[in-house]
This record gives sequence, structure tokens and C-alpha cells, in this order.
Amino acid sequence: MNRIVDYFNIVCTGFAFAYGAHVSFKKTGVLFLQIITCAFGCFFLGNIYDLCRFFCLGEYYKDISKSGLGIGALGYMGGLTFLFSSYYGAMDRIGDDRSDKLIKFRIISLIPFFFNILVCFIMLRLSIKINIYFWICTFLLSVISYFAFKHMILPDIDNGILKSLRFYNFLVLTFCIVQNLYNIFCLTQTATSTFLKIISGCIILAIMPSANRGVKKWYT
Amino acid sequence: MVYIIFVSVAVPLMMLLFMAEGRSKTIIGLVVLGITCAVFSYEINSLIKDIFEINEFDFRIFISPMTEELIKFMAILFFSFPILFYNLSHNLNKKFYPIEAAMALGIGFAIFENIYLLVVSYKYVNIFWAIIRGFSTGLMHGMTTAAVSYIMTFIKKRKLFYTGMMGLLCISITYHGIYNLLVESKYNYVGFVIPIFTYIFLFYKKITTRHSAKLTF
Repeated sequence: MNRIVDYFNIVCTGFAFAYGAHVSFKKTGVLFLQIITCAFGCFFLGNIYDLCRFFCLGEYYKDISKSGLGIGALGYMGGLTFLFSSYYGAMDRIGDDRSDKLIKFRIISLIPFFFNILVCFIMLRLSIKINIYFWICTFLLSVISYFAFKHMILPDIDNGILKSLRFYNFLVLTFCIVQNLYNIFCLTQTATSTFLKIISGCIILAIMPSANRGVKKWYT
Repeated sequence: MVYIIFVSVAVPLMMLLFMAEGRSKTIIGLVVLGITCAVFSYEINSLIKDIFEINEFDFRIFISPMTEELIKFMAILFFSFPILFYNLSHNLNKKFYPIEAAMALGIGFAIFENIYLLVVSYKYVNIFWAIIRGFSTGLMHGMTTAAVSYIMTFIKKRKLFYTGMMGLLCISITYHGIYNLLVESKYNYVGFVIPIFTYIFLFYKKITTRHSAKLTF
């Protein structure tokens, strides 16, 4: 079952990467879409690495290090870095004009960020062992969810980009929550992690088309 | 042995470097820099293996992609920062092609690696080994370095530059890791063709879109 879910995830990330590369990497391609495409390319490569490791090395090399860091993990972290970059480096510059009247939205947007961190501290109190990989991923997911939630609730300043990408931001926020839960359930080694991985794959299938649709709506 | 090979290869190229001009000079200089990175990588890898007592197989699969890509990445940063930030290039009106330049660095790295492996394993090599090393490893190193250098085209957008840098580094390490994993296993033929197909695809995209990421001062 786990292997089938891994294949499903590879297909989902591969589709997102291929679709993104088709619509964004051309002469008139939008930078924001290119960055998201790179994110899913990174996820795809990370999944491919894990699959190759399974076929080439077998289950013997399953637990590489106590820290959880490995090359497959780098693929996943790289994808999260790109998603963060798409907000911090590109979209936030357009959507948020840094004016004082929007400060309450920025404060409210910190809710998912602190919620994620709080869940991790609760796990620490429950003596569930957390490794450095989990902390890095949680931090990145928390920051991405901050931006996604902020861009969902921020009023459009003057150019309409946030309104057209609202559904995309909702999908990204859901993805962050599901991924965080998946990371937690992986540590506790329950069957719920398999179902969460399937949900995560379904969200990934929808993210790239919704981003493309949103950008097209903004341009027209 | 490593330093004998280094001097034999790098000195003629350095002599040529003094005679070259313009873009040729940049390419040759980066090939020499790539060769230097390969020597540095050899020393770092040997040090890590000795300190942590890692066996050769585990090191090639899990550690060497990270060390080699990090070293090449630092070389790109070290080379590009002076030119891009402080305008040290004497031809300020000329266009600078970071991706093609970085590929030269990666190819230089691969050239030295191939020569070193040829020297230490000369009893076991043949023309097929050379073809495979030349086409697959050379292209793999060139493309991972070119991928990381793509971020140089965003050097004026600081926020994007710093965050995108880490992402592209992760991509190149993962790609290199997949390649090493496959070539060390019974699926080595799959590993050998991946860089070739990636290169053909990227070359096709470049020809059809006529898009070359370049940066003007």
C-alpha cells in the first residue's frame, strides 16, 4: 500500500512539474509560475530519489541518519524553499504594500504559523522524538502558511492579483496543514500518514492548474 | 597524483587564458576554476571519509553529491559576486551569460574527475567507459552547475536571490544523488542516460524558444 501511495505521489508531483513547465517556461512565462514549477520539480526529484533508493538499496538503508536529513529530504526541503520564495520574493511584493492599514491582517495571518509551532511543542511534551529535519520542515511550512493565509484575507490593493489567486492560496494553506500532519503522523508511525499522503497528492494535482488559472484571470 | 594531474591540465589552460579575450577568456577561466574545484573536492571528500570513517560506497551515494555541489556552488558565488555586484568586469556594456559560464565550470570539474579516475583505474577502462563517463558524468556536472547558476539572473532581486539559491542547490544535490545512486546499482544504464536525455531536452528548449538567460549591466 505504501509503495502504491509513493507511486501516486510521484505521478502527482510529476504532473504538476510537467504542467508548470509547459505553461510557465516560455518567452512570455510568468516568474511566479516558474518558481512554483521549480518547487514541484524539487518535490518530484525528492520522490524519485526515495523510489530509486528503495529499488537500488532496499529496505536495509531505510534509516539513514537520526537527524532525518538525507538527499531525498533535501528535495522536499528545496520544494518548500521555492514555495516560500514564490511568496517572499515575488507575490508578497505585489499583494502587500506594507501600509499600516493592513497591519491587522498581518497579525491575524500569524495564526497558522503559531499553531504549527504549538503542535510541535505539544509533541515534545508528549516525548515524541523530533529530528532536525522535522523542525526545518515545520518552520518552512509555517512560514508558507502565513503568507498563504495572509494573501487569502488581505483586501486587494489595486491590481486584483490576490482575488484571482484566492483559491490557489487556499490550496497551498491546505497543503501545508496536511503536510505538517503527515510529518507528525510519520513520526508516530500510524496508518493515518498513508491517507494524508494521498490527500497531499490530490492537492498537488490541483495547485498548478489553479495558479495558472488565477494568473490568466489577472492578466485578462 | 591529484596534483600532478592538476598541474598537467591546468597550466596549459592558464597559458591559454592569458592569450584569450572576451567571452573565450571567461569560459576558459571557468573551466580552470572547475578543475580547481575538483581538486578541492577531492581533499574535502578524503578528509570527511577519514574523520567519520565512512566506507567508499556509502560516501559516493550519500555524501559526495552534497560536498561536490556545495563546492561548485561556492565557486559560482565567489566568481559571480565580484562581477555582478561590484562591476569588476572591464567590459561593462557586454552581456554576461551566467548559465553557459557555469556549465563550463561544471564541465571542468567533470574533466578532472574523469582524468583522475582514468589514471587510478587504467587497467579496467576502455573506450566504452570513456564514452559513458564523457557523456553522462560530464553532462551531469555541467547541468547541475548550470541549474544553480540560473539564480544569478535574479541577482538584482535580493529576496528572490537568497531564497531561490537554496532551492536550486537542493535541486542540483538531489539530481546528483539520483545519478550516483543509479550508477552504483544494477540500474546503472538508467543512470547513464538520464543526463543525456536531460541535456537533449534542455537543448531542444533552448533552440525552440531562443531563450537564453542573460544579464546586462
